[in-house]
Amino acid sequence: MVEDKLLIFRFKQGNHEALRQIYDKYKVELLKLAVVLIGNRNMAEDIVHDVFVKFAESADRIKLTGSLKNYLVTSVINRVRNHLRDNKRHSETDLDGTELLACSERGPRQWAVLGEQLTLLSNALQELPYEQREVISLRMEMDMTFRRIAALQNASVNTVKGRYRYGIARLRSLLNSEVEK
Amino acid sequence: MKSADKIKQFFKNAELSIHSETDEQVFADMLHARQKIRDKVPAVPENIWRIIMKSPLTKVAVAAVLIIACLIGVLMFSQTSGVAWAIEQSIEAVSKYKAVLVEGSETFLNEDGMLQMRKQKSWAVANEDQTKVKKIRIEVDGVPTIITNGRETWRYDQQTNTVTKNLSYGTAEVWIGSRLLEQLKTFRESGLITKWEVTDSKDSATGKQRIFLTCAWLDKRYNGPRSLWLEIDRQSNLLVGLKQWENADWEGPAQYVAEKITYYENLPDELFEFEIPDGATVIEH
Repeated sequence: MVEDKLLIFRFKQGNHEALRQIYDKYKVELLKLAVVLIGNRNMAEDIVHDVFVKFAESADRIKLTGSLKNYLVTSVINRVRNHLRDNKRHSETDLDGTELLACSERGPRQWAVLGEQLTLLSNALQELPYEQREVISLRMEMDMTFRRIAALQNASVNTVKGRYRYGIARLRSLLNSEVEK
Repeated sequence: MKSADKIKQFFKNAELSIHSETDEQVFADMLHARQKIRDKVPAVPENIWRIIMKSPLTKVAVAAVLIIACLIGVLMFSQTSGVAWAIEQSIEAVSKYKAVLVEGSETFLNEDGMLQMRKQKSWAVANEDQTKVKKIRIEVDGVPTIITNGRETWRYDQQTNTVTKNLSYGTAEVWIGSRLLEQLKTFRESGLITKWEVTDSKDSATGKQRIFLTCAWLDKRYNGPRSLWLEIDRQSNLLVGLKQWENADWEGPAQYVAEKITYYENLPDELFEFEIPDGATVIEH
């Protein structure tokens, strides 16, 4: 965590190598998180791209009280939620939001190449209610504590643990034979 | 294996790779966005970062500061002309910085009397006139154990998961700088430092010219008996390594070894803020 703060400090001083180190350190984790949360590779790429660009723009104003990782994860979560809300609104107005919004700002080139298991996992997670999906992804992928997740979801720790248990049970049945391997 | 463990394993095995060309494009977008923002605001003078060194000792940064001062003080009063020049330059070089990071290890006896070693990192910032330590962060084996931001102090005991707030982190708060060196000059002149030797040679590993100083003193008022080994880079005149023994004869394993010392013009405030660990008990004084 201290190393991250030093990296941010160096970046604020104009050191681009520090930005590169931050980017390289977190890009894969954030992409995986976005993919499992949103189930759409293109959109996940756009969200993480946007998070990093906004971070580069606003670094001077950032004053971390926690870890950089939590800051970036929260940024991804907020954008995913915004996207899902907007997507729902578009769907209600008779638009196929997923396809429309999946148009990448980076053009047609692919950034993340998903392994077979990640695709399988992401598809299974989309069968879960979003709150359960979020709890499981943050817990499993980001090793986040229930307390932090509860704060992020503005819910009690017990509620979050309940979402986790139900989500795990459902995911287990969805993945059944794959998990047994 | 429980369901959760199996699914956790499934998560860990779910791989994602990065397309390198697009990856570079994304990073270029970040730099471009950054540049656009910077173009809109007045340029901020860049701080100069330099690698140096220096060393604190024990968990309480206090002793460390005193030791370093003593080291430099000894150098300062070396009677070898070439070394004396280097010492003066070292004093001048050190006084340019008001922040420092010391990375090293500490050797200690555990409750069973067994010799053990732990890694230690200390970040510190001086007050405005560089007379005292204003902010300090000490990490032992990667765990923050003492942090002060100049207003509040936190001490963390990982074994009991307890945070003690606003208990002074130590008594000695003297900064490593010219003021301290003046004090050490007095030490030297008063005959406090009884053993010293300065040699000048090339580091076989890096090929760089180094000055090595060994010194010792006995006076208990200054944490004696104590002996030190100090390494100074001839080109930058900065201290680059330090070892300390709690005896006056350099006997046995060094109690503290500073492997790397980095000086900064400043360090971010965020470094000196403490995040209370999950479930920790907080005792406030």
